[in-house]
Amino acid sequence: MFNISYFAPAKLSEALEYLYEHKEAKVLAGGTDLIAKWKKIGHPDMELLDIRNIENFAEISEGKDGLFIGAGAKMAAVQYNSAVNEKFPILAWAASVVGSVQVRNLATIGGNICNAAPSADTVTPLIVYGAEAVIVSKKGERRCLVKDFFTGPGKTVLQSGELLKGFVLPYPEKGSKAAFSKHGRRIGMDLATVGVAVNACVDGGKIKDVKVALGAVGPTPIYVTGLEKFAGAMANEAAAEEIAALAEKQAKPITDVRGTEEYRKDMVYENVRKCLKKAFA
Amino acid sequence: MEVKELNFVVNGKPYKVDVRTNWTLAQVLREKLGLLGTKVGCGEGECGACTVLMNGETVTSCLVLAVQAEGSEITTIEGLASADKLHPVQQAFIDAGAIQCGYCTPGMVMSAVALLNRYPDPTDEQIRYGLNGNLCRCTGYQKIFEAVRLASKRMRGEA
Repeated sequence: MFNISYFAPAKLSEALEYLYEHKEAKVLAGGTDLIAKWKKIGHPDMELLDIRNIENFAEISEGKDGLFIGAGAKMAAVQYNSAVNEKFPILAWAASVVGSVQVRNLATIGGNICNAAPSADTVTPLIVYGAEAVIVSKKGERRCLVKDFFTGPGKTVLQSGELLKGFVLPYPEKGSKAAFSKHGRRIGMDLATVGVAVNACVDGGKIKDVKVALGAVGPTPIYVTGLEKFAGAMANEAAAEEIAALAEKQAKPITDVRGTEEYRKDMVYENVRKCLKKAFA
Repeated sequence: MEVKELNFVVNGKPYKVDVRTNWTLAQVLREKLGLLGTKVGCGEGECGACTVLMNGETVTSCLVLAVQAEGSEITTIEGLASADKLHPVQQAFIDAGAIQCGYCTPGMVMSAVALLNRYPDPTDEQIRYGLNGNLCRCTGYQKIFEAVRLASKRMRGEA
């Protein structure tokens, strides 16, 4: 008990080699989830790979096919980055409501996703913006849509030896507008009771494309399916209500200290409707 | 038990200390360097009592492993005052009566300093947002709020 072996390489190749050789190693980024949990479960032995020093891991850069956000980018960096604010405003918003100032100065966007809490604030915006996770290992690089990244509470598609390098967010189509809501009991230092992100592309008053993602109402973040049929429909209150009802149906919440199953379902409906109203405006 | 050498700067002074890899930054500050101003409340990043500045940004030092502070610059509550004068935020906390039991105060002051660095003339909302990672069970926050207002005015030369 109590022993930690700690490795903080500057090169990605060294990190991947370490992960390959140390199958049980845990990846440490901000540590706000990992260290808190480690203390809670009695300080077990750990092998830690600290990724904060890896070259370019905290980078946020505008590329040809989209904005790249490194897995090691801190919440505060995402929150205040000008490109994120300009092109992906609800991601900046979601980052700004994670934990507290101190948490956002440590916690990373990669950690928020890899920790795979169903309530993770930045996940729903990444999903509705169509973000892809860039996953690297000794064998090479692969990509996975963030909506397909989660397999259960705390579980992801990452295999042994694989590391999340960052995300690519395709630039939003002209005419698209996103909205976000974190429904909780208080503003600071709380997890969402229900999280909602929507992204709608409206052309001439008609829906071209609409995406909805839900947080904290299932074992994983939920990408609402079956919305293709709304393409061509009028972007109005009636469509918002219909989509909200569909989202409510697909939500699979549990009852816990933050709210009951029924309450959460109601709040899914209300928040999706509210967000769509904003996105359609 | 694995031990690593930690090189960092605390309150302007360079240190080289051997630390266990399972120690937190808060532990090293308190137990190795004797800087007892940094308090440990919850130990899980919720209460903010252990807040210090790491490379100019507030962090909860109970959630940072000491080894992660390699090469960093740390400012604790002990590093705010100059030789003969308290930091304006410290003075404002005293003058506004923003302290009761005092346990949250060091962390609260560090967060207030960071908040005023970002917003020298903050709105009410910005003060609340900037301090929402610090819990205080005594004051009801109103006096703390007023202390931040007072410090802001003084630092801008208005009071």
